[in-house]
Order: sequence, then C-alpha cells, then structure tokens
Amino acid sequence: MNKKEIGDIGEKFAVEFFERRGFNILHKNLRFKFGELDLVVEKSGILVFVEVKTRSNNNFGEPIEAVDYKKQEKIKKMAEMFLANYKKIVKGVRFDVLSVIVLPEGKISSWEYIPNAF
Amino acid sequence: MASSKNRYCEIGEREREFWHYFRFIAGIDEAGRGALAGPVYAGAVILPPFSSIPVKDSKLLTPKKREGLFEVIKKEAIAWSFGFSSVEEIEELGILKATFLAMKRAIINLQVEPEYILVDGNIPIPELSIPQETVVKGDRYCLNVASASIVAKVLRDRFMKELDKSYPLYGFGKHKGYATREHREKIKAFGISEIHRKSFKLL
Repeated sequence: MNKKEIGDIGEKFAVEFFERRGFNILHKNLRFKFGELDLVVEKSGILVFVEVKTRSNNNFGEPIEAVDYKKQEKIKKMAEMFLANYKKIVKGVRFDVLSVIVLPEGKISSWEYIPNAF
Repeated sequence: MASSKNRYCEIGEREREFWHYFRFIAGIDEAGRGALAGPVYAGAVILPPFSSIPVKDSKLLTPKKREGLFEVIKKEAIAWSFGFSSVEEIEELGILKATFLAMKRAIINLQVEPEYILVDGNIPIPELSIPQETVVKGDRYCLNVASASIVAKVLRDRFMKELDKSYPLYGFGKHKGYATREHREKIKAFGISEIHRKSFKLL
C-alpha cells in the first residue's frame, strides 16, 4: 500500500470519527497556496481545524509528534485565511490533531485524539 | 451470524462498531419508572472498549445474580455511577422528565466524561451536549446499557429495602414499589404514604 492510499484511509476514518461526534464536515483537504487543511468541521458554532496524521507504523514516533511548531503556524495562517471568507457566526475556533495508525492490510489499528492540541 | 432480519442479535455486537471510534461509551438505563412508589433511579456505566463482561439481559437475572454482576461491573468498568429523582420531583415534573433528570445526574456523576451515550428506549435525553443514540431493548443488545440497568436496579432495590424499615406497612422490600397485587391490596387497606406517587393511578 502506498503513502497516498494510507493517507486516504486515515482521512476517511477522520470524517467518520467527527461525524459520529455530531460535527458537520465543512471541508476536506481544503487547498491553499502553501498547504492544505485536512479537515474543517463545525458543531454549534465552534469551528474546528483538524490535522489528520496517518502512519502505517509508529517506528518513527507517534504521528502526533509530526505536527511541529512550523506546521502549527502554517495551519493557523490557513485558518485565518479561511475565517476571513467565512460568513456564518463563529462562537469559537479550535485546533485538533487526530493521529491514525493503519495496518498494512488497510485496517485501523489505533488512534489518538487531541482536542485543542495547539 | 447476524442476519439482516435480526441484526445485533448478540449482546455487545452493537458496541463493537462504536468502539472503533470512541473509547468512552456510556450506557444509560433507568429503574423504577413504572413503580407506584419511591424514586426513579438511573445507572451509567463506561466499559473498556471491546469488553467481554458476562452481563445478560438484566430482567432475566435473579436479584442474587444481579448483585454478583454489580460487583463485577464495579471492578471492570472505567467509570460507573447513578443518579435518582425523588418522589417530589416525579410529582413536580412528571415521570418522563424526572427520569431524564435522574439520567443526567448519573452522567454528571461519572468520573470520566463519556464521548458517546447509548440510552435504553426510544426517546433521546433532551438538551444533552454529548452525542447519543437510543437503543430499543438496549439492556439486551448493549453491554454498557445492560450494565447500567444492573447498577440502577441493584441500587434502587437496596434503597427500597431501606424504605421498608421506615414504611413497614406496604412490603416495599418485596415488591420494591411496583404494582403487584400485594402492593395494591396494602394501598387499599392502609391508604397511601408520602412516598407514593400521587399523580399515578394507584389502584
């Protein structure tokens, strides 16, 4: 299984993960000039920007560790740009990280969810 | 094998699907909603994901077996709790709202905040911020709900046995306030007490 396929499995899991928690999925892979927001979801006026980290194994540390300071700044910048064009009422904004570990056969082996990660 | 006609025939099957996405699923059930006297109790239990705790349909259990399983639940569960609404609250709010109040109290009393809630029956708990799903006959199909039902039933039964000491005329220790023939006859003979639900049709 290649990197993209593994990433897609993680994204699909993340969508289901937030839908089951009662969130509306606003955008998947929202592209900007310098990057993309993996997932933008909303529940009762709270906007959540989700960084989804998918790995096929955790030999290189927890996927969550891959969201370093530089990456966080980039996500915040994109969120700002998103908010500038967002017309609905926003009661709050949050940044979550969902890390997913996928087994070679494509099943989810485990996940770690960090709301309000940064 | 689960056929399409009889999906979720095996207890716990329902939750296995949920446990892929949630770690802390709480089951909620009530005890004493239909009784003529005494409070209504609610139990809440969060079992560890993919638990195989040997609970069964709580209605099929003897009181002694329920007590035994209650001890197992206390040991196995990530968190468990209960809540109740008093007779005054039942009179004030009506039994349905009072039951929901007891359920909310049980949820608040949990030491771990649940991510998802499975409620027995077909009416969701109103104004709850945690996502929830109702399960008809939940105590037969969900381990969490069956466990919550045992917690509620055991603790309410204990409370009614205590009440029996203060109100010995009615035999609460035996029928726990439910509308058995014995209970009806006692009401006919002695009238009602302050722990009877006056808004119910008592006879």
